[in-house]
Amino acid sequence: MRLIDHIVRLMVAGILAILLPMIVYHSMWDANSSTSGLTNFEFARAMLTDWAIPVIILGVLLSMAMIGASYLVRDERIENLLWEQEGEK
Amino acid sequence: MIPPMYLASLGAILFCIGLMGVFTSKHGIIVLMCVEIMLNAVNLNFVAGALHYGDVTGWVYTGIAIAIAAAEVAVGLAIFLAVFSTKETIDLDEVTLLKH
Repeated sequence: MRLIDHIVRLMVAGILAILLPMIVYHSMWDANSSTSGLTNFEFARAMLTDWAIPVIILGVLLSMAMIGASYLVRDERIENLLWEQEGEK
Repeated sequence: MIPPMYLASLGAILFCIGLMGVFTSKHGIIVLMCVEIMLNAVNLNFVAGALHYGDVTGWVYTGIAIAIAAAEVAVGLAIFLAVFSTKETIDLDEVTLLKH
């Protein structure tokens, strides 16, 4: 198992060694980057106009995740105790 | 302003760190944290693209990815809690409930 771990680490290090020069020396960085600084106002406007529907869907998804998570971690000890007591009777 | 190239490079480094953790660790929480590191690396690349091209879309994608990551970690932690309450461990080698 240890050997596999070391092999995986070496492989990931190799991927990083290949990936970093590809990123640093990529031709897209040669082109002048945009000088217009993005502001929070533009971000907020985009979220509330162009991306309003995805943001609403995202809110529903987050609510579903939170409700599901709280359902998964509910405390069942009392329910289990009552169920066992009824079984004994 | 930080050059976008540095952000993209940092994203690549963080992604590889997360990848290494996911592949080598057997503890559930650590694997979850490494997945989060990988998601944040992707977010850094989105931000780098948004800064380079001056487009707000990258920021919006970053916000969406952060929200999805929050949902994922909430469900993941809940699953680990549920598993721990029955199996008394969250070692990924020992959690084989779905095999049987």
